[in-house]
Amino acid sequence: MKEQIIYRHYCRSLLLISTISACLAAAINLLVDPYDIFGNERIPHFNLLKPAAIERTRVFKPYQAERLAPKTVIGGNSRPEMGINPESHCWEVSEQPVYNSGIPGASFYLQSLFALHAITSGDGNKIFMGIDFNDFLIDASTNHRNARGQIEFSENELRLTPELTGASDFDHLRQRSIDRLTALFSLNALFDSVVTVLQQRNKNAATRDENGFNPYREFNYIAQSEGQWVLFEQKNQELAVIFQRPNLAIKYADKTLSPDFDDLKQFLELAQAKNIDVTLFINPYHIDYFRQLARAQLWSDFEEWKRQILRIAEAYQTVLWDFNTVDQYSTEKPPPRNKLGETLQWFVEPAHYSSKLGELILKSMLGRQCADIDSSGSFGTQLDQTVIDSHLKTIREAVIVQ
Amino acid sequence: MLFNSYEFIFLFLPLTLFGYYKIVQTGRENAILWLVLASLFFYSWWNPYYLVLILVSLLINFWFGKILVRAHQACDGSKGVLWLSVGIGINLGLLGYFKYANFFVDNVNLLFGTDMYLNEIILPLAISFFTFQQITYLVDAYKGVTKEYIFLHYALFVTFFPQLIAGPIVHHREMLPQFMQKEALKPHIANISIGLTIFAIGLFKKTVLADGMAQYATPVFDAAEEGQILTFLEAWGGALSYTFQLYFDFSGYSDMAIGIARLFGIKLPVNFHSPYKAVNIVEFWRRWHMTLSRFLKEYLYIPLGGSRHGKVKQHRNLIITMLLGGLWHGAGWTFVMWGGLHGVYLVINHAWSSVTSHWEVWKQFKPISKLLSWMLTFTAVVVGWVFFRANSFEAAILILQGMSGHNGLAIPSAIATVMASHMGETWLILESAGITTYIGGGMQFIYTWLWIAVLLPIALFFPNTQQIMSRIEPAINLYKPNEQNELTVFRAFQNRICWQPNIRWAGIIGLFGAFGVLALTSVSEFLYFQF
Repeated sequence: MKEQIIYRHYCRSLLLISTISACLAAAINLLVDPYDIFGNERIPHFNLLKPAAIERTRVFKPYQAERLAPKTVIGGNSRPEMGINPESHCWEVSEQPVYNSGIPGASFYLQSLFALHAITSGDGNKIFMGIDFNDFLIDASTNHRNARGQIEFSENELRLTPELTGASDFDHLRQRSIDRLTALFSLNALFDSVVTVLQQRNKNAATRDENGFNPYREFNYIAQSEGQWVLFEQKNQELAVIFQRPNLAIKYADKTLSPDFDDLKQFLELAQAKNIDVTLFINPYHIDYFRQLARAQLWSDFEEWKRQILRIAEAYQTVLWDFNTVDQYSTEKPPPRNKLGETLQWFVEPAHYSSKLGELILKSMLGRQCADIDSSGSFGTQLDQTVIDSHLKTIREAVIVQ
Repeated sequence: MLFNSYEFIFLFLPLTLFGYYKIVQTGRENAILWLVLASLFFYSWWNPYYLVLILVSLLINFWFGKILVRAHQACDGSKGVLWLSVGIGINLGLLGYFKYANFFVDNVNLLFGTDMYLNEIILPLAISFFTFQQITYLVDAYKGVTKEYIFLHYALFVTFFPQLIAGPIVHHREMLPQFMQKEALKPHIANISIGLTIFAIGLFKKTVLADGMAQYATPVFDAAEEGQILTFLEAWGGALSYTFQLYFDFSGYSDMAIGIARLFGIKLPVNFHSPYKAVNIVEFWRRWHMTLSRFLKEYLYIPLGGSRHGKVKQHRNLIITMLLGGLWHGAGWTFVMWGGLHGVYLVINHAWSSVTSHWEVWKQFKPISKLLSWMLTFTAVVVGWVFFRANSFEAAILILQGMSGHNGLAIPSAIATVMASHMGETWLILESAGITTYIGGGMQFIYTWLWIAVLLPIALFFPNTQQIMSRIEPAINLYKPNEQNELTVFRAFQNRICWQPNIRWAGIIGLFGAFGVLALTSVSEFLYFQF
C-alpha cells in the first residue's frame, strides 16, 4: 500500500513536471520570440536581433509583412533582400512603410507569392520585383512540367493569404496554428531563444530587421577575420558547381520555356487585377558572375532569358530595368588574401550586391536624386525593344574584353 | 504511426491503454481482442493495404503452428520436418519477394547482361521483424517448446504494437504467459510509473540525441555519394555522427517499446546493453540488437553446426551467419559487406582469444590491453557502420579513404583563423605539418564535434536504461554482462545513477519527457523501420 502511494506520487510529479517544463519553454519562446512570428516588441539587449530567424525567412516573413501592412514591397530572392533597404532615403513618405519580402533560395513562384502576400497585407500598391536568371533555369533533359497544378500546397504557400494560393481557409488556419505551436512548444525554439538572448551583444550577429531587410551584419566580421576574398572564393566555387550542372537551360528539349516564365506571367496578371504597380528589375552581378556564366556556356541562354522577360513585361505594360553592367561598379577587384578588413564598395561577393549599390538602383528606378553617393550618370538601363540588342551587345563585348 | 509523434503520444497510446484496462474488467479475451485491433490499426496507419499481408501471414503461420504442435504430440518427426520446412519456406519466400526481388533481378541483369524488368516493390513495414518472429514460433512449435490454439492470442504475440515494427524480436513463450498472468488484468501504478520512465528516456534518446546528431551525419554521406573528396576530420565526423545516431535511435526505440509494453504490465526483452563499451567484437554482438543476435544464434548459427565441429567449421558458420544477418538488414551489397566484415571480425576475435589466453604478459597489462582492445573494437565497429550507412560501395570507400588520412587533414578556414590568432607559432607548425583549410562549413564542423563530444561519454561512461532501472528489473534480461569485457570507467559514478520513484527522479525524467516531446517538431522515422 505504501509502495502504491510512493508510485502514485512519483507518477503525478513526473507528469506535472513534464507539463510545467513544456509550458515554461513555451513561455520563454513567446517572450523572446526568436523567429519573430508573434511580433512581440523587440527589446534592446534582449531580443532586438533575431539571429535564429535567418534560417526561417519563409516562416516569419508573412507574419512580419502583415504586422507592417506595407505601402511598398521589395520582392525577390536573397539579392534584393540584402541589397535594397526599406529604410533608404529614396522612399517618399507616401511609399512608406516599405517591406522587403526577399526569400533566399526560393523559386520565382514563391518569391512572387510572398511579395503579393506582403502588399495585400496593407493598402499598398507598389512592388519592386528583383528577378534572377538562376531562378529560371531548368534541367532540359527532364520532361516539360505542365502548368502548376494546385493539388497539394506546400506549407510555405499555406501560410499565405488563401486568395493568392487557392488553398482552403481550413488548411491556411491549420498551417498558421502549426507555425505558432511549433514556435512555442519546440526544443529547437528554446535553444534558439537562448542563443537569441546571448547574441544580443555580438555586433556581428546575423539578423533580419522588422521590415524584412537583411543588414548582413556578419559581413564585417568575415571581412576582418578571414578577408572578403573568402566570400568571393566560396561563391565562385558554388557558382561553378551550379552552372556546370548538365543540361541547364531556360527551355526544355521541345523548346517550351521553363515554367518559371508562366509564374512570372501569373504574377503580373494577379498584380494587374489588384491594381498593383509592378516594376521588374534584373539584379546587378559582379564581373565574376558573368565570367561563370560565360564559362558554363550559358551566355546565349542568359540573353534569351532577358528577351523573354522583356516580352512578358511589355505584354503587361510593366517597366523592366536591367542593372547588369560592366563598369566601375561590377569590376571592382576583390581584396587579396592578406588584406583583412578591406572591403569592396558595391559587392559583397559575385552574386550579392551591397545596399550601397541598392541605393543607386533605387535612384534609377524611382527617378529621384536621393542617394548620397557620388555617382556619375545613371545606373542601369530601362529595357525596351529599341535598346535591348545594343544593351546586350555592350555587356557581351565588355565581358569578353574583361 | 511513429512512437515519436503527437498522435501516438497524446491520442493512440492513452486511448489504447485506457480502453485496455476498461475492457479487461469485462474479461481477458475482450481485452486481448482490443489490443489486437489497436495493433492492427497502428500498423495500418502507414499503409492499410499491407494489413491484408500481415493478416494472411498470421493465418498461415497459425495454421502451420497447429500442425507442427500436433506432429510433435504425435511424435511424427518426418511430418514435422516437412511442415516446418514448408512454413519457413513460405515466410522466407514472402520476405524474399518483398525485400529481395528487385535486388535479385538487378544482379542477374548485371551478371548476365540481361534486361529483365520488375516494377519496384515497396517493402511492407515490419516484414523483416514479423517474419523472423513467426519463424521462431514455428521452430518452437516443432520442438514442442510452445503451442498456441487460440488465433487471437497468436495474433497478439505477433502484432502487439510496442514490438511490431522493429522488435525486440520476442518468443511466443516469453510473451503470451505474461498476458495470462493476473498482473496484466488491472493497472498497476508501479508498472505505469516504470513504463512512463523508460518511455521518456527512450523518447529523449531518439528525438533529442539521435535526431540532433543525424543532421551532421547525413551531409557527409550525401557528399560521399556525390563523389566529393572528404578529409580526415570530415570523414570521421560523419562516421562517428552516424555511429551515435544509430545507437541512440535504435536503443531509444527499444526503450520506448519496453516502456510502452510495461504500461500494459508486459516485460519485453532487453535489446541493447551499452554495446559501445564492449572491448571485443564478440562482446559487441552480445550487447547490440540482442534479440536479433539471439535469433541468428539459435535459428541459424547453431542449426548450421555452431562450434560443434571444429574451429574451421565454426568460423565458416560465423561468417555465413553474419553475411545473412547483413543481408537481412537490407537488399544491398553494402549490407552484405557489413555482415561479412563482422563475420571476419568475429573469426579474428575467436582466434586472438585462443592465442592470448596463454599469454600471462597480456593479462598483467590488463588496463592497457583493455583500452587498446576497446579502441580497436570501436574503430572496427565504426568502419562497419560506414558500409552499413553508405548507399554505395564507392561512397563507403570515399569515406574510409578520408578516415584513413589519405586525403589529408583540413579544417574550415574560419576556425583556422581563430586558431591561428590564438596559437601563434604553434599554428604555423601545424600548417607546416600539412593541415590545410577549406572555405565554409565552420558551424557544421563545430556542431558535429560538439555533439560527438557529448554523445561519446554518454555512450561510454553512463549506465544504460536497464542499469539505471536495475532495482526493479524493467525488462527481460537476456545476458548478464561480464565486466572483464567492457570498458569500465567511472564505475562508482555509474553505480550512483540508480532510479528510484522519488521527486528527484520525477524531476529528471519529467524533463527528459518534456524535452523529448518538445523535440517532436522535427519528426523523423526510426532508422530500423527501413529494414
